[in-house]
Amino acid sequence: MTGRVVVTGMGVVSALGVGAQALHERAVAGDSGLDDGVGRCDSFDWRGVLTRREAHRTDRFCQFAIVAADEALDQAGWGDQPPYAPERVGCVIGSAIGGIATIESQIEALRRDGPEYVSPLSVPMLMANAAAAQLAIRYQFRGEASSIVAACSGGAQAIGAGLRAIRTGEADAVVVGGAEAALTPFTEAIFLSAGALSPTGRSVPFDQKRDGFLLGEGAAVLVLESADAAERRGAVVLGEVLGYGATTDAYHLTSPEPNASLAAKAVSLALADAQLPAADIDYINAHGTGTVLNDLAETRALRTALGEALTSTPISSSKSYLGHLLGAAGAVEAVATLQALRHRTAPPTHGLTEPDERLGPLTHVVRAASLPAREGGSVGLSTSFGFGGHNVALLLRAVS
Amino acid sequence: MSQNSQHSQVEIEEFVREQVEAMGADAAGISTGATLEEMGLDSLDVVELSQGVRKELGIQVRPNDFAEVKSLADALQVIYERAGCS
Repeated sequence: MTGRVVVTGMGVVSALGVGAQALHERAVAGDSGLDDGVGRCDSFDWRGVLTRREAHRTDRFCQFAIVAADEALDQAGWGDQPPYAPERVGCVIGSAIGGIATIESQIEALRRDGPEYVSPLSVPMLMANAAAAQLAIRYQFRGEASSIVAACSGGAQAIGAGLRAIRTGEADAVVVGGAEAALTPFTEAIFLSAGALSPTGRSVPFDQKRDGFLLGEGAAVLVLESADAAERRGAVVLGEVLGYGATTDAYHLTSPEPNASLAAKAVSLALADAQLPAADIDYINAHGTGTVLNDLAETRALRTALGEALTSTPISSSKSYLGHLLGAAGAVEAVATLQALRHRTAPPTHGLTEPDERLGPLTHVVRAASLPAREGGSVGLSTSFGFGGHNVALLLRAVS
Repeated sequence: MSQNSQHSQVEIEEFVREQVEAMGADAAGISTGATLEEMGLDSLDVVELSQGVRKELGIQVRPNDFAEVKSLADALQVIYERAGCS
């Protein structure tokens, strides 16, 4: 038993299109999925993957998860049934809100038509665990299935939950990820009121003129397997989850703790878990929301945890071209990180022209940048921070 | 309790078939002789169907009215009776 956990499949739905390949290729080409200040999945179509019945019984966030899972499981070489005893396969899909469009439409039905016309499908469609439940039904995952609801770090925490379940021997494989479809006027108003959403709709993470984040939508699913089990079944391994660290600020509901000591601790914990020095990190996919508070706290946390190594490590934010996918962000960015490592090309922070000097010396990726080769595979750090003070760090390695 | 329907049996059947298909049943499998189970429908679908019939056709059926229903023909009979066109 090595206790190692590998990634054998990845799937993505984002504003850059459907597919983990589209995400990487378009990001490094300098494309952005943001249009009019929103990262909407305009090209998304459930047809071809979901049945009409599944589409009728699922909210958009859940449809994203199913399409992403279909891609990930296909890449992993799983058929209609998992390659393990079904009760040894778990599923954890994070979502910050769940089926917000369903909630909104059914409140409207309640007010317009009365309580007897509220859909009986409301709960199975709006519940945040719907994605995990639907994937379990569709693919016969009979181990523990759940959602992690932890605002904008839920997707990353889902990966951590899968990692732990495999390490402890509770599962041979866990299908993990995050899904969110919250581009509604209500959600936009909430984040605007909270002062987190960019009022100009042109926010760029790390740029001195950034003024908040932009909303995006989508999903990512990763197939995590025990390295031993994956090897036994002859699976093609794409990457490895090396380390995971998570802490909570216990400070404020929305503002990061200014010293970012707990965010730094999450990164340190991930490094310790991976038994790696900071100098071994080849690329940082930052949480990088584009709020002033996040940028300041995040870079402070990284400087504390990584020391001098931070200055020379390429860093970029996927939110600059996808928007903020809330509970899906951590999962989509884990895939973006793994893709960058696998192709040894870091995607840029789209639109970054005037880095904020208050963040200190950083190696911003402003155009796609080559990453150095490393024996055993390039290593990347992906950070996620959520309202509520949740801090998460993932260390990932490409396996080629 | 029945009521004088403004809808014929043909119109009601057409509406119900459309509803059942919209709920995701395979169009080829929808027949009056088929059981709801055979068409892949469950208790949540029955509630949806009764809501649709009430709202769109104005026929006052309730989910409990379908408690003994096995086939699509049974379901239609319940609706016809409530509509007063059986």
